[in-house]
Amino acid sequence: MRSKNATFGKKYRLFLLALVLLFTSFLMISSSTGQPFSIPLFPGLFMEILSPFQRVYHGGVRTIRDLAQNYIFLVRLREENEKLRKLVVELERRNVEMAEMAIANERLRRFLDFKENIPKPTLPAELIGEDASSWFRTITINKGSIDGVHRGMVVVAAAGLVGHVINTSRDVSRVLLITDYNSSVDAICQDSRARGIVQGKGGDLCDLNYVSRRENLAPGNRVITSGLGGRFPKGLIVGTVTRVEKKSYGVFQKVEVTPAVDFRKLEGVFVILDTD
Amino acid sequence: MKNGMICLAAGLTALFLQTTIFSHFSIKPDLVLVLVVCLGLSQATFAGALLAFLLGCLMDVFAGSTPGFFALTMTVIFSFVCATRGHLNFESQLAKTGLVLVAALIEAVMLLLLIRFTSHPPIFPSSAGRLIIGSVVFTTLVAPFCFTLLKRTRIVFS
Repeated sequence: MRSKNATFGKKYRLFLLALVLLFTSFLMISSSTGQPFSIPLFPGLFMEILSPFQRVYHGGVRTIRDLAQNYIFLVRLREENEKLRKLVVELERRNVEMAEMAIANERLRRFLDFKENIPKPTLPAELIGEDASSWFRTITINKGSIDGVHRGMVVVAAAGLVGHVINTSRDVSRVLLITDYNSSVDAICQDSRARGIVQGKGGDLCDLNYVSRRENLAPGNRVITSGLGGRFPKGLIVGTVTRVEKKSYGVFQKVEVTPAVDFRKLEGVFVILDTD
Repeated sequence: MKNGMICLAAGLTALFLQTTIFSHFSIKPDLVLVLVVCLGLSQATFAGALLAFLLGCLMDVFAGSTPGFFALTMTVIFSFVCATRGHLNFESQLAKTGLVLVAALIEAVMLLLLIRFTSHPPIFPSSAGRLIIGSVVFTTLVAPFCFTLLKRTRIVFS
């Protein structure tokens, strides 16, 4: 009888192990969906192991690219320089205009007793790695908890919103881009003030969901963060409306948004530090 | 123990390549998947299953934002390979490459379903077809090189 049980156990050992591992995986997925990742030590250790190699690789690529740009593309430098000069003049002019608008806006805010946006310090960071899979959209930056970066902090680039920090180790952090399926940003259309949720589609585009079909949106409208939801400060540029689809039925309309940031060319970002 | 360390090192190398060199491509091959298929063919044991699970967990650290996705898919793929190896002959490179193709397809479909059922609201990726075909083809194309490399690594360290 005992030998029968032993044979039974031996025969189905692998199958039972596979079941246990599958069950464990399901538990991990179900416990982490909608909740912060609660095992910091395991992922942090491997992120630390891999990050020096990622830094070396990106440093090498940058050096080679700099060499190519400096020595091979000298011919284009002059015309590019001329174009940039004109662009700088134009941007300086706009800067002056915006400074005037900011002063007027500040005056109106105080007059209406609006709550002021407290400017927060930012930490510059560089991209050293991307998501290991084609299905998801995350990046790795070269700043971690030792630099004051924590999970949940917002990451921006010069052009607009990039995403938020989902995992940190001592020296590096992982950022979930706004184009990822799991990313949701409470946003409003700057022109019509229509409100919705910007959700990533996994590629280079996002959808602005839950926009009432009574709202009038058009391609070219700018989308910014609403400040609601508690994560993203108000006024960060998310992107531009590229397509609006309004069916004759339904409560909401379908709006496609192109992010302001070109994630394929992203190199440097800023982490908005929480000083609270 | 030595096999486990080699496997872990190979997994980290694969992830380094996937997060750096292959990041220049919009669709990347899944080298960790090829590693798990090799494990399934060579080590249909407790250790192999645990290594496949650990490789999936390692992949979860560097891919996506929901832990458990790749731990689940890699465990399923390992189980599939173990279940199949007793019935079919996988001695030739072509047969192994064919197995990688099927495994990549299984992984793609599983990820699609996981994304569909865990996102709020439920999302069906618009470029799903392109992603599935691209990742399957790319992974299958690099599989023979990975098999040769792993074989030589095993010879060097044995």
